[in-house]
Formats: sequence, structure tokens, C-alpha cells
Amino acid sequence: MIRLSPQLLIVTASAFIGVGEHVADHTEGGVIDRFFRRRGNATSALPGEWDVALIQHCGYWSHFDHRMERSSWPVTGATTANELGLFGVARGVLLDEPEAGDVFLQFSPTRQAFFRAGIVVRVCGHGLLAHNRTYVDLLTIEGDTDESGRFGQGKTMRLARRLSPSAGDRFLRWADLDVLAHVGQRGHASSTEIVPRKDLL
Amino acid sequence: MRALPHSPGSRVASHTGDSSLAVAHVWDKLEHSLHSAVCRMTNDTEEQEDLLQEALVELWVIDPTRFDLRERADLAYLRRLLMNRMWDVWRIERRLFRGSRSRPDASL
Repeated sequence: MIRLSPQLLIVTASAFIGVGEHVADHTEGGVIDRFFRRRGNATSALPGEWDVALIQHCGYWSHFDHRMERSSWPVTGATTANELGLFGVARGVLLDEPEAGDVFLQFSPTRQAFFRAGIVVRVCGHGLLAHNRTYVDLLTIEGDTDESGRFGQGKTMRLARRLSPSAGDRFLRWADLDVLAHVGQRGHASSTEIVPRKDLL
Repeated sequence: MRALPHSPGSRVASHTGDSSLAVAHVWDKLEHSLHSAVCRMTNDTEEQEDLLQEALVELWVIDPTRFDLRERADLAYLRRLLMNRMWDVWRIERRLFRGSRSRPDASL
């Protein structure tokens, strides 16, 4: 089994920088379509959003052991940013201080939920805004965005992004999950746990 | 906001963005309606500009990428936040300068 490595995720995701969704070419079998099929349960996500699908694709294949024919990527099953958040809470790996390789989750005040996810490549700095609101400046890789970081814009980008733990943003420290413990928990999942799909292993 | 070390026009530059650029996109969408609102709050053009400036700073602090800008409801919510900020500043200034007909000279 491949040991969990933030660098593997970052390197794999870097290979997708610049890959976009070309609506005219979005035929079955295309890159974005492939991300969606990896997600398994496409019906639970809003149509067209593939930020989490990119993370799942990169996570799964960056940790795929071709000899064992299985991946050690521990975050299987989540199809939305909010599901990633629930997963992080259940496993105790949802934090408010980022590290390279974490999956960031941006909080939406209108949805009162995490609505966007991406990969932290580098932590560039910390600071305080008005009313003691904390922020972190990050370099990220994100799917389904554009040059200005807007959601649902169809590109994979490398982005300078400012997130604010005070505003609800969190970081999924998936690399802290112990692979063996994860495998050992299979079959004893609680109702809140996301169980790996066997057809994806 | 956060300069990254790569030359303009390079392959890296063409695939590297900055979420602070979203402020300009959103401001273009909201400025007209905010300007209309601020005109109803005060006739003082200098004060109007100050209030709009407050809204712009608030937009930058809030981070518009936190919203799904394709959704009308999200845009409306964001507009309401900025309106509230302008009203708050307007009220504070009224309280501070109560009794005086005009605002003090900004240069003082």
C-alpha cells in the first residue's frame, strides 16, 4: 500500500492545471466526465460542479498501488465539499490551520455549509482582518474555477486565495488518517461515516 | 493582493489566478444598484463616494468567492451585506456629527 503523502496529491493535481471543461467537447469519456464517474454518486452533487471530483480523482490515483490493484486514498465516497467536512468531523481531521496537501473547505454564509473544496499547495502567510477575523493566504489548486477564483467556471487553476477560519473555512488533514486503522474500521462504520465503495477499490 | 514569482505571459502565469480579482467582477455587477441606494441616503457626493468606498472594502474583506455568483440569491445576499455596511457607516457619521449640517472637512 502507498503511504498517505500530501506531496503525491499535490504533484498529481498539478498535472491537471490548465485542464478545463470545454462545453462543446464535454462528450462522454472526456476528462471532466471521467472525474464524475469516479465520484460514484453524481446525483448527490449539483450538476456541473466538479471541484470535489477533481480532488477525488487525484487523491485516488495518486495513491493507487498498481501491484496491489487498490488505492490507499482514505477520503472515498464524499462528493461535495460539505460531505468532505462531515467526513473530517467524523474522523477528527477537520482543522483551522492549513498545511500543504490539506484539502481546504470554503464556507458559504448563504448555504451555511462548505460549498467549495481545493488542494492547499503552499501556506503563504497569516494575518488579522477587522473585528479580529483571522485569515490565511494560500496557494491552491482548484477545479471548476477561473482566474479570479469564482465557482463553477470550468477550469483547473493554480490560485492565490485568502481563506478565513473565522468565517468558517476549514482544512481536511487527510494525511493524518492512519491507513491501517482506516482499513480496520471497515465493516464497523457508524451511520455518519463514509464507507469506501468496493467497486472503486 | 499576493504577488507570485512568475513572469507575465509565461505558462505558469496563464494558469495562475488570484481570488482577489473576483472583487472587481462582483463590483461591476453591484455598483450600479449600490450607487442608486447611496444617492437616496445622501445628496453629498463626497459622502456618497465615501460610502461606496466602505462597501468596496467590505466586499474585499467578505471575499466574494465565498458566494456562488451564478445564483441570484447569493448576489442579493451580498448586496444586502454591503448595503448594511453603508447604512452602519452612514448612521455612525450622523451620530458623530449630529447637529452640524455638513460633514467636517476631510483634510482636518
